[in-house]
This record gives sequence, structure tokens and C-alpha cells, in this order.
Amino acid sequence: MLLPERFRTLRYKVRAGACLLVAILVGCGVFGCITIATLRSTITEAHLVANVRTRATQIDRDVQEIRLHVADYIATGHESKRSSIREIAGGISDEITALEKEVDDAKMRTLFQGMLRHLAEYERVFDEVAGERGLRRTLTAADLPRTAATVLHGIETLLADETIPENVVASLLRSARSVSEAQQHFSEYFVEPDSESLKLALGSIRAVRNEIGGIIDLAERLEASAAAILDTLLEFERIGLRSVQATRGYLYLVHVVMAGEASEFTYSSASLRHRADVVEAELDRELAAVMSRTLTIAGIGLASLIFAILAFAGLFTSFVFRPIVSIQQTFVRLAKGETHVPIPFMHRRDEIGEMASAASVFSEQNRRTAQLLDRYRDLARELDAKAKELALRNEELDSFAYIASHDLRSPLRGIGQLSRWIEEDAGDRLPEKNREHLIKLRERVARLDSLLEGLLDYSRVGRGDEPTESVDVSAMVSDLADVLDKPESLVLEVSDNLPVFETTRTPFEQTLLNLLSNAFKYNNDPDGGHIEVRADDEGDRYAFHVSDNGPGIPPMHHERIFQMYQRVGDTTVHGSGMGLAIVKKQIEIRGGRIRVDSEVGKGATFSFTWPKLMTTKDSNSAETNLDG
Amino acid sequence: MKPDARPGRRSRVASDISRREFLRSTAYTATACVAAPTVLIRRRRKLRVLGTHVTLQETLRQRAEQDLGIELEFSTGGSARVLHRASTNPSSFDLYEQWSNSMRVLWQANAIQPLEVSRLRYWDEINDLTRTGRLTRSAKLGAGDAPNKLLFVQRDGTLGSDPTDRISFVPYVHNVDSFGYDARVVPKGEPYETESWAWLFDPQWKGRVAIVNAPTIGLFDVALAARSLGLARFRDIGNMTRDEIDRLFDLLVTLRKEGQFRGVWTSVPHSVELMETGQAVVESMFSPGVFALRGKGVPCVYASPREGYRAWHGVMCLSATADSDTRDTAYAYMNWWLSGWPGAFIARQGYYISNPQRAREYMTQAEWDYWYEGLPAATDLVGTDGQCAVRAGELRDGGSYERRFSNIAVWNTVMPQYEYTLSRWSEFLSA
Repeated sequence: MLLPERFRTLRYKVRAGACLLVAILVGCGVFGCITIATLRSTITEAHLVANVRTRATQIDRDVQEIRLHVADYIATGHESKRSSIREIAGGISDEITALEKEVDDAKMRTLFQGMLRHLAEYERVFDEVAGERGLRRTLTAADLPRTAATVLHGIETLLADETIPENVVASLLRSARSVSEAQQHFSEYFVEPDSESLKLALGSIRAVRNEIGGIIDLAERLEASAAAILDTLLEFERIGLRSVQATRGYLYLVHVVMAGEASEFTYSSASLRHRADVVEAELDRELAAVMSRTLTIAGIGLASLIFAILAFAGLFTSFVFRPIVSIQQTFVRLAKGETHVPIPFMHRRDEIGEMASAASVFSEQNRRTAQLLDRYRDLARELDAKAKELALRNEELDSFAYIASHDLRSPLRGIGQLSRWIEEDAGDRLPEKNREHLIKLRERVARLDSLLEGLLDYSRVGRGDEPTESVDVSAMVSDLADVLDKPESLVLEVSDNLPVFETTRTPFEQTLLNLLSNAFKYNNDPDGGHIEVRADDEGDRYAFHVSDNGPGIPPMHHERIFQMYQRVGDTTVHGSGMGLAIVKKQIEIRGGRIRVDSEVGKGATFSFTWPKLMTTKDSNSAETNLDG
Repeated sequence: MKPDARPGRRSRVASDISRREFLRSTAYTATACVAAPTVLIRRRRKLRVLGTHVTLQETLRQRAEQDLGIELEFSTGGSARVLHRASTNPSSFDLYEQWSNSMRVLWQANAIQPLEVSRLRYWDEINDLTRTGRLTRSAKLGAGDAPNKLLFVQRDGTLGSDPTDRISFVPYVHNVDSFGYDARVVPKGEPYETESWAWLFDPQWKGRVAIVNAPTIGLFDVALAARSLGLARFRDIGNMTRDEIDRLFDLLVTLRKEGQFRGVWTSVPHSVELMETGQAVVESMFSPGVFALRGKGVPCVYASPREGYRAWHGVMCLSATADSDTRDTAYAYMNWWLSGWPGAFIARQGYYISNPQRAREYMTQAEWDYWYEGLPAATDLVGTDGQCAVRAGELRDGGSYERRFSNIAVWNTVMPQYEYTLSRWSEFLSA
């Protein structure tokens, strides 16, 4: 697959590797955080569940306490028991409500809600129980005895009548006894509810009703009184039955409804504890699973990290370090000038490849440099040969010039002498024309002699080893001004810093002489001529400057004036045209340089350098330097 | 034809008759003035009916109000609650609808007054189950208080089976109960052969058995189970002695401590919840609970125990405090109940009516065949909630009306040892 170019770079790969390592580390960190959070959550939940189980057990005990209080209340009717029941039930309700808010388990919450419902129903029914019990208390303690007394009072009232027959008296007495029996049976029922007691009570009442009904048959005059007794008896029976129903009612409520609610509550509580066990077991398993998972993943993560680091290090070594070392060694070899160095990793398209490309550039440069050096050596050797040949030729030329100029001067002087002799011999016979020709001949001879003298001087430059001596440049300038017969109108300004130094006097003097001579000769200002000589110390040499305010030299002639037999400016001024050529040769043969700075109308400054320590520059010096 | 098309048409006829009859009595008073047009002044009568959710249903209330032009106020509660309220405060209701096992208490408490059979339009249609305790001559006579033993007001003012012209209640809704089991868990048994009350004590279902929280009902379920297993003997299971009760409860307490029972349920929805959630797989059951579970996709089987059913009979009683006007309205309502439509309505919930032939006129043949004849449902049958209650091809558990009521082991009864059973019941629940 072709990757975008930026993805091939080493920087990208290193960054990608680093990002991978960081990602693994971050992943391990995140996983660790999640694991810790999970463990914390699980442990917290486990504590909560354990707490739920403990509190559920306490709630069960509270419920049992309520049941005991209820039983006490049923037995005694003490209101304090009701308060206790209310208080405990309220506490249970608050406890369950608080627990329900704490737990997250849906089944537990459902159980809590069920417990709250059962508890609320239990309390509600208990209110009914209390009501029924209160009603029964009123009926049995007050209403029932009072109506029984009323019935008995009616019977006693009849018995007080001494006119009633004996059989009526006997019936009334039986009735009174039956009323008492009925009351007794009711009481027995209320002490220990049993339908047999009720049956007996109702049987006694029925017996009374039969007796009183029989009285009406026996004595009609007693009908009204008997009817009143029967009405009261009916009320007595109604109250008795109402009391029985109230008793049955609260017994049913307590033993069935409340017991049922308590049973469901207890079941819910047991289910809650069971659920807590299940949840706790699940949490234990989850905890173990989390731990196992954590160890596994941590191990995998660590192994991955180690593998990634090793892989990264290996890849880094393989793809970066080793190539860099290899390329560095290549560069070292290239730096040593090796030209045939194989460049590794040229195929790579990353930074290593770029370094390899750079190395290949160095290699190519080395190769070219080697070629150039080879070429240079060839040229140097060729140049050396040429130089030697040239020096030889120069020597030959100088010798020739010397010989020619020296040897030619004698015949030339002879020609001049001969012309004089001809003129002297011819005397007046020599036509004027011929005389003029002879004069011109001598002028040409003189001219040629001058040229040969200049040539001879030029060829003499550098010949022979001239000893050095101390030269006072300032004194030399003054002497030369005298020698050159400096016009009065010219002002020669000699700088104070002109040195006194050890050098070859004659060449130096010849140089200054030529420059001062030119300055004097070409200064055409009759009044304001000004010439200045000054020097600069430039370390191992001095720079001398001879300036004038003459007509100046056009820049186009600045090179030409240093060539042999070249003259510019006023040609009427006497000169061979070899002065500056000789000066240049004198200076350059000693390693110095000369130049002119001048513009037309602004004078001219000739500057030249002269070594402090005199070493004659010969023709071999260049070759020596090149080889060095 | 829609199943309820015919009943609807007949319902209008029936209601017309009922209302005409009602008008003929005292619900409407006509006042005529010589110089003015006739004006009917309708005195809207209100009946306060106390009972359970079995018969005090909103659909029935609206239908009765519509048919009779009266106002009905239903007060519902648990069986014991309403019995207690009725027996202690008869002025708090006009009509009382409950079970025959409450009759002795109510009668003894003088909470209700006798009814004149002459004012019951359909009295002659009441079948033999109520009159004699047997639907057929060959039927088993159940122990305990069969409805005939409580129906007639004897000359001495007690209740008995000798026919008189005064009765203590209007016989109407009745059924047999047994236990239900979750066929997903409990292997399906053979009706009347292997299905047995003994399953309540089967250790296989330990911790997943529930009993109805009513001593006058649930006690017989466990008594039948104990007797079936030979763990208890009863001289008369409908009138247990204190010793018999002690032995039975000792057994129950032991079983409960051993974890046999999930617990007790206090309402039909509670019983449904127990089986639906898997808390109970065998439990005392009422018919609506069975059908509710089936509607929820729980394959609840209403067992046909080989020992016989526990039967119950609905009673409609008139408060002892009801005055003349209230009595007139109450009779109209009683007659409405036996006029056919209500019988058909409750048949779709699995209940029977005491004059089923009149109800049949308001049922489709498929409904009649399934609910009364015990034949496979020819079509899907819709319940009173409009949902499909029975799929085509299904058979009613226990078979026909006749077969089911020929296998009555005991009637729900308030025994003479009622108070004692209460305290022992509490011990059982607390164990």
C-alpha cells in the first residue's frame, strides 16, 4: 500500500512509535483507573449489601417485637403498647426507606417497596384492631352488663308483685338464672373465644325468651311488662352478638390479616437477606473476575508495553541508530577524502535516505574534488614546467636583453662617434642637409642608447645578491629631492612616520627615485605643486604612498603605465618609458604590489608595499607555495 | 354473528321487564292531578352494595344502573373484611354479596333480614344445587355448610334445609375451587385421577406452594391435602374438632418450618403475581386468577383434584336495617341478577349462576358448550375484559358444570371452631 509521503518520514515513524507507547501507557492507566473505580464500586456495594443484610435482620427483630407488643396489646389493651408499636413501625419504615434509597439492586428495591406496603397495611389494620378492641371493651364492660341488669331488673320488678302465680314466679326465676348464665357464657367467650360459649349464651337467651313468652300466656296482665323485658333481652342479645363480632373481627384482623402481612413482610425480609447473599456472591464473583481480568489485562498490557518498547528499540536501532552510525562512518570516510565509498540506505525515502543522499552529494563532491586535484596537479606540474621554461626564457631574454642592450650600446656609440667624425672631417664641405641628417642620426642614436639603457636597467633588476643595510626613508627622500633637483615651486611633504628599516638600499632607492622623478616631472602647476610621501605599517611590510596634485592619469592608463616603453601624458617630458616598469619589477620581485589611484585633474597617488624583512622573490616561489 | 349480539337484544327485553316490574312496585310514584297533565316523579333509588370484587364489577354496576334506573354504590373488600363490616354494622349497607360460609355469622348477628321467595321472579328456576346441595342425585354431597343448609329460614328463626317461603339469601353465583399449578414446572396430571390436593405438600415444590390467607377457605385446602396423604383424619372435615385442628396445624407448622410454603396470598392479583413471578408453582386458586395467568401466557392448570373440589356459593342478602323502599329496589336488583345477562357475563369469568338456562339465552353456543358443558371451545372465546380468554379447541379444566359440581369435597364453611382456627392460623403464619 502506498503511504503518503509524510507518513514515510522517520520523524513520523518515531512519533507514531512514541504515540503507540504513550497510547499503551494511557490505555494501561485508563484501564487501571476503571479497574480501581470498579473495585471501589464493587467493594462499596458489597459493604452496602452486607449492611442491608445486617439491618434486615434488625428489622426482622423489630417486627417480632411489634408482634409481641401487638399480642400484649390484645391481652392487656394498654395504650403504651400502641405507642410502642407506632414508634417501632415508624422506625422500621424510616429504615426501609433509607435502605431503599441506598441500594441500586432493582430486586432489593422491589422487596423494600413490598415491605413498606406490608408494613403500612399492618399498621392500618392494627388501627382497625384497636378500634374493634375498644368497641368490644365498651360493649362488654359497660353496655352488656347494663342491659343484663336491665333485663334482670325487669324480672325482679315482676317478681316483686306478690299477686303473680307461682308458676310465673318459677318461670321468672328460671329466666333470671338464664340471663345470668347468658352473661356468664358471654364472659367465657370474651375470655376464651369459643363458639360453644356463644352457642350456650344464645341458648340461654332463647330460654329466657321462651320463659317470658310463656308468662304472657299464663298471665295476660303481665304482657306489657313481659314485652318490655323481651325488648331489653333483644338488646342484650344484640350487644352480646356485636361484642362477639367485634371479638371475631379483631381476632381475624390480628390472626389472619396482620399475621398475613407480617408473614409477607418476613418473607420479603428473608428474600432480602437471600438476595443480599446472592448479590454478595455475585459481587464476590465479580470482584474475583475483575481481579482476574485485571491481572490478565495488566499482564497483557505490561507484556505489550515491553514488547512495544523492545520492538520500538529494535526498530529504532535497526531503522535509525544503525543507519545513522553507518552514514556517520560514511561521512567520516568521505571527510577523509575517500571517493569510492558505497553510500548505504539510498533506497530509503525518509530522513535516513536524505542523509544518504547528502552523503552521496559529499561523495560526488569528493570525486569531483579528486578529479580537480588530479587536474590541478597536472596543471601545476605543467605550470611548473612552463614556469621553469618561462624562467629560462626570461633568463635567456634578460640575458639577451642585457647582452643586447650592453653589447649594442658599444657599436651604437661607435655610430654616434663616427657621425661626429664624419661631420668633423667634412667640416664645411658637408652640405647643410647632410649635417642635419647627421644631427638627426645622432639624436636617433642617443634615443636608441637611451632605450637600450632602460632595457639594460630593467634586465638588471633582480640580478645579483645585494646586501641589506639600514635605510632611513625620510633622509633618502630628502637626498633624492636634491638629486632630482626639485623645483622650488614644488612642495615636498615628507611624513613623520617614514620608517628606518633594514633593506636593500639600491632597489628601494631606485623605486622611490622613479616615483619622485615622475612626480616632479609631471607636476605642471608652477605655483601650487605639492608632493607628499608617507608610509603605513602593515605588519610584515610597509605601505608607501607618493602623492602629487599633478594632472592625474586617466583610469584607462592605470595598467598601461606599468608596461615597458609606455608613456602617457606630456610626451615632451624626457623619459624612456621604462621607469614604472622597472619600479613594478623591483617591487613585485620582492613580493610587493604597486597600484595607482588617480583621476584626471585630481593628481595621482602611487602606493606600493615593501617587505620589512627582505626576501628576494625568485621564480620558484610560486611552485613551492602551490605544492605547500 | 357477534357473540354478544343476541344477548344485547335480549338484554333490552329483560331490562324492560325488570324496569316495568320495578315501576310497578315503588320506584316510580305517579301523581295525577285533575286539572293538569300526568306527571311522573321518579324517585331515584340508591343501593349500597357491600361485597367482593367477584360480583361487584364495574360493568355489572353500569349495566344494572342502565337496566334498572337505579344508582348503585359498590363497596368492595376482602371476604373477611366485608363479613366483619356487615355483621357489626348492618346499617352500612343495603345489600350484601358474599359467600354462603358467611351466612351463619350474619344470621346470628341479626345483620340481615329474611327474603320473601314470592318476590323473587326467577325463584322457580333456581337449580337443585342450592335447594338440595346436590346438582344431580348421584352427585357427591360435600361436607360443611352446603348452601341448602343455610338457605331456608326455619320457623324457629334458625337457618335450615327445610323449604319455607322465606330464605336468607338469593342464590346466584357459585363455583368450585381447587389449586392451580404452573404446567411449565409441574408435570400435567390427569384430572380427577392423579391431580390431588396432596400436591400442596409435595416436597418437589418446596418453597413454591402458596395458600389463600383465609381460614374458612385455605384451611380446607390443606386439610384435604393432609387427608389425601394420610397425615390427618377428620370425622367431619366441614366441622373439625379442636384435636383435629391441632393435629392439622401441628403438621402445617412443621411443613412451614421446613420451608414447604412460599406463604399466603390475600387477593387474586396477589395469587397471580406469585405464579407469574415463579414464586409459587402450586397454590390455592380462584377461577379469575387462572384465566388472568393464562392471559399473561402462564399455562396455569386449574386442577381437578381426585379428592374433590372445595365449593363455594355466592349469597346476596338484605341488610336488617333496609326499609321498605330499599327492599323494593333490592328485590329489583336481585331479580336483575337472575334475569340472564349477568349470569352470562359472569360465566365468561368461569362462574356459574343458579338458573343457568336463563343465562344460556345470553350466551353463544360455543360459550355454553365450553363454560357449562365442558366441551372443546368451538371458537376463540372472549372474556369480560374483551380479551381472548379461551382459544378454540381448549377444554375447561374439570369438565362440565355437572361433572365439576358432582365432585365437591367440602363447602367453604365457618366451623364452630372458627375462633380457635384463627389463633392457630396465626401460629401457622408466624412459624
